[in-house]
Amino acid sequence: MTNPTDNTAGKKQDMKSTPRNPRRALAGMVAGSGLLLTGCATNAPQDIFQPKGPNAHDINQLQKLVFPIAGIVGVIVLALATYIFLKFRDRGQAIPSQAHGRPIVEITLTVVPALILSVVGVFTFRTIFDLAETQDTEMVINVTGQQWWWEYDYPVQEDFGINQPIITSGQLVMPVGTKVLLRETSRDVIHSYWIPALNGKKDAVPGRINLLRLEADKPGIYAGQCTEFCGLSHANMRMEAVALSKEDFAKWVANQQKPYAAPAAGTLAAEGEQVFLNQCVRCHQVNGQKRADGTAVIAAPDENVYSGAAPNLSHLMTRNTFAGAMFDLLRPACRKDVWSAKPEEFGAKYLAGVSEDCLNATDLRAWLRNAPAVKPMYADPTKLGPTDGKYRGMPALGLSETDIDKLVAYLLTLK
Amino acid sequence: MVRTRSVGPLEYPAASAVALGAVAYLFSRVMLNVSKSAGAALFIVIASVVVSVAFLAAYRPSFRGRPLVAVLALRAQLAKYSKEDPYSITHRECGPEESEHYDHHAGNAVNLRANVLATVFVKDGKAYAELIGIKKPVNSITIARSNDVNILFRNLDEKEHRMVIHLGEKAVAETGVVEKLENCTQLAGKNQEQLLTVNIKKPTIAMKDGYKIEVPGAEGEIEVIVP
Ligand code: HEC
Ligand SMILES: [Cu+2]
Repeated sequence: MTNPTDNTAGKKQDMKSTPRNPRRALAGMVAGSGLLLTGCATNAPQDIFQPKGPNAHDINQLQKLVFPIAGIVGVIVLALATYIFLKFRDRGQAIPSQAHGRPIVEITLTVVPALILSVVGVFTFRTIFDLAETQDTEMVINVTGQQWWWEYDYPVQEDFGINQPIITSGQLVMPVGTKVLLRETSRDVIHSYWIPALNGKKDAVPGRINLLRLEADKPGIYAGQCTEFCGLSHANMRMEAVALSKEDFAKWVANQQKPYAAPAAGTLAAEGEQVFLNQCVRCHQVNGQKRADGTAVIAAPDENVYSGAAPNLSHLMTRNTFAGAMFDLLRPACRKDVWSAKPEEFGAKYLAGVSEDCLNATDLRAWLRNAPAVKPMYADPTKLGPTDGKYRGMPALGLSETDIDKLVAYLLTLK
Repeated sequence: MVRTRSVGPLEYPAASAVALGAVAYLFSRVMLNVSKSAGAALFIVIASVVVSVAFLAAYRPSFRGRPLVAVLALRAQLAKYSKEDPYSITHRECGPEESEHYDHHAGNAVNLRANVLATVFVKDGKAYAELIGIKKPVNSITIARSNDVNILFRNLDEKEHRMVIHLGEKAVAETGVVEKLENCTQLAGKNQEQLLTVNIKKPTIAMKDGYKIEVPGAEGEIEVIVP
């Protein structure tokens, strides 16, 4: 043990010398301005100052008014305070005569901020009400958060060709120029849905439905992340909104409703389906999948996962990220081709989905080999007491490399 | 001088600090003077008395200040609940008529009113649902799989009604008898509300006839889709 007295003595000395050490001060300043400079990044998909739809645009307009006002007030106050601290600092001079109350100053100091706040207030309220508008909604999507991924389901909406419910995860696919209303909730803790380019954040609260409106001007992928701390892998709970032209969206809808086609007998994929039936269907639903005896396969995530849900994999390979949008399903070159496509070309590229050549097999295989090793989750079977043996996340299943080969071949058929 | 310039009277915080200090001091005298185990027992008794009296005062305002009657009534209530368990789902009687046990104290329900998944109305003998954020009434609602969701039932009819959700059926393993699975609210009178929390584990594709909500004695059913 170190001697406590020595220790504090050392610290005192340190504290005294720190602010006077010019090198350290310089290092601090460099680090600080480095931090400031990150604000100038151009390739920042979650930049709130680059709105890509009317809701985010409204917020940006408000920000353009409020930020300068707050900035000017801030600079004036700080400058005056600094001036006063320096000018009237204690030099041992006598205490000047004290006075109390100066009506003209006090009234001015009340009226001016009140005026500023009412200006800011009027515009803020207007924006809040604009953002809360739902009467002209054109399309509804249910959004359910859980540790640590988002589920989307599309209620039946004949206008958009949705005749049976669609369910997907990670990437929210929506038509451009359409007022989409998200009805958000959660299966476990509070999460928060935020696609900065399209709108502000809205909490997803268990037992409640919160509304958030999204609308995108142009086709493309808009990144976001969960913004309410939700446990171990909160930082890995990402999501994307994918906007498609109306025609492309209709194609996407039609494909999501396509009935399940089991892989042809004798193929590697067919062997993969067997592994899937043995290992995966206790958590993951693939709609339309049947057992050999013709009965429908119904997953039981409620018995195995704490939140009661695992991603529906019916059309896994139509999305291009997985596991809470943490990993890419596309290899870097293919990803770049889709993500930075021009708006006119984006739709066709996105709808192509994941081909065998473009598959990011490395990350998908790592996931199947040992998911908790690549995304922190509560999946150690010996430590599941608090959740009655249910996992939070996907467990390591101890699959062999040949099983993984088969599974990958099978998953590639889920388009 | 100081008084006129201070933001608020200093007496309030000072007085409450003194009062709290006194309470803490007195408690410490009592607690330190009795032995450890006796102290625990003593305080358990005191706390129980406080809780029971508070419970009765809240539950039966007429008992306020009549401790003996109160204790007897508490015994009677507890005996009754332990026998009948009116809140157990297995005893819910979901028909249109009033159930002797289940509809007891229906008016005491405390409801969540805002941000529910759906509100089911019955008006002029017809049932329909409304969803927040959606203008028109609907006759189909979507409920995410295995998640607790709240559905509010509001009766706008003269007649009493309850809302029933049909959850399919289940064959009892030993006897093979097919039992209907359903859940319902208590009866609600005119302009009254009832809340039902449901958690549906299996998607619609797992069901023969799907799920639906009905109001016995009223027309119209609301389809429930679980994706
Ligand atoms: C105990 C339940 C459980 C089992 C068994 C299970 N998974 Fe998962 N799986 C999950 C959960 C939960 C997630 C979501 C994890 C996350 O994103 O944080 C998931 C995510 C995935 C994803 C990413 C999906 C997406 O859209 O983001 C894939 C792919 C996947 N699992 C494949 C499989 C395969 C293949 C098997 C069988 C070998 C399997 N899983 C077995 C629970 C399970
Ligand atoms: Cu989250």
